Amino acid sequence: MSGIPLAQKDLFCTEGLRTTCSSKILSNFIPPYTATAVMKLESAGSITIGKTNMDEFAMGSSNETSYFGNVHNPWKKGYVPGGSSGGSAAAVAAGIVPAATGTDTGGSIRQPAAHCGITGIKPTYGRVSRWGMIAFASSLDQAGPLARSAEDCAILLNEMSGHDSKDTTSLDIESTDLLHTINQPIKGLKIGIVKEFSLGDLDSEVQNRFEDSKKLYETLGAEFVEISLPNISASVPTYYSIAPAECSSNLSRFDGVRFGHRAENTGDLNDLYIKSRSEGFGDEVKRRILIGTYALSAGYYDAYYKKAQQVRRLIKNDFELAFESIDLIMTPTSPGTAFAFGSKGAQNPIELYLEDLFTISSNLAGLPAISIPHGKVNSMPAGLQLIGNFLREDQILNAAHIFQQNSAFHLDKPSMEEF
Amino acid sequence: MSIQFKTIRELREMLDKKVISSEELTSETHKLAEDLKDLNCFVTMNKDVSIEKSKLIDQADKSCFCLVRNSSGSKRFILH
Repeated sequence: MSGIPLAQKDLFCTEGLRTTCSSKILSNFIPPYTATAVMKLESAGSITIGKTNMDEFAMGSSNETSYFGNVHNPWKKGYVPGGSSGGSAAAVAAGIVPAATGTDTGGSIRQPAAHCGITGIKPTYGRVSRWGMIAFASSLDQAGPLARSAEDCAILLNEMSGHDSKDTTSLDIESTDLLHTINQPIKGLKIGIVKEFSLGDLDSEVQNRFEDSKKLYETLGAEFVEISLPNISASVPTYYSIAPAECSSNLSRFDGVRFGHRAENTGDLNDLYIKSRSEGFGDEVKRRILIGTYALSAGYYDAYYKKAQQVRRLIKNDFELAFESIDLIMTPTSPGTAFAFGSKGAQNPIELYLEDLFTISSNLAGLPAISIPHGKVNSMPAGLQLIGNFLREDQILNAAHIFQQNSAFHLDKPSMEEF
Repeated sequence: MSIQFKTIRELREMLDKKVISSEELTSETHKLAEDLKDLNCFVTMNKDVSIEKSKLIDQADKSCFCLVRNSSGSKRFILH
């Protein structure tokens, strides 16, 4: 990695370099230390050229919640790059940097990778240290790379991975060289198709791309098996109970006293908290803090947060059972492609929450998943998701690499004429 | 030579073959970011520090190269 320029999502603390989480409340925050994941990349010789725009505190699927304004999709001006790692995805897709870091709590690496026509991997929960990552939902957050190919993702993930005593959820496992395990034949690889995802309800072009990719894998020797994940339909409501609950707890530290924005002309301490937080947070962050605080409040904790954690266990169990008979699971990354600014979620935020329909479950189960480009739908890139078993990044990276060795979708570049 | 849309593998090769120095690569990256600033993909740039680091890497590469050549005459052990 020596001398390779990289961009870092503005959610990783970087010593001496402003870290905002694209929020007004942290718009003047300069951390005194660097996140482990970034430190590892820099220790390997990579060069941080800047911090990328994102949805505020990683809450969003379109990069429209950033305090610093929308990021444009390099494929079409005025279209979203996806989120929350939209700035990282756009910087890679535009060819400014060969790779960038991102974080993924419910699809925030994979969905922007899909919308921008690049490759992005969310590792197994615990493979990459979360120390120095500003927390959104601690039991779901995971850092990973976005790059132009699966091979480049393997290079970055090799450097980012590893046990970190500063993160109690960091896995103490033997390191594996993910570059050495790609380019293996996939003959006999068993790929599961989830029957509950009802792919027949999707846009016909999204279905066509998916069928084309299935055929390519079949010609390469993979076998497809229909599998059932009976509780998968509960993924989105489960996620939107757990993530806001953890976010309301994590974001309580931003109070105008210790970090960032502090309101002026305040009365007592409570007034300082209220005004600083009201001025500092955007609407989507406030919405999630409210939902989360409600879900954690006395009398509702058992009904929402505890129940959601129980359902999460059922979802995880479904995956464990499925992986007894298959090697990986294939889905579209997103139900659609990138859309115009303001065209989704303005009246009903659930429209945007459904963008993560296919990605959320692997965060709930802590599993690794990758998105690779697999063609266009209405002239915008579409992504294919491969979900692996626990700590089997080697298998999904290999399957992704083999796909890219036998197709050219990952080589497509936006014209950039509009910029 | 344009560095736009290059992969890590391709940039590594350019650096190893001395087609481009680390400093030139970092400067070119900043130029691209500036040319494409309408994308709004960056919140904060790290120009001065990154160029300083790239100069150090270029110097270290030269030092390592000389050290290895003096001892074995082989380029295989160049540290990157």
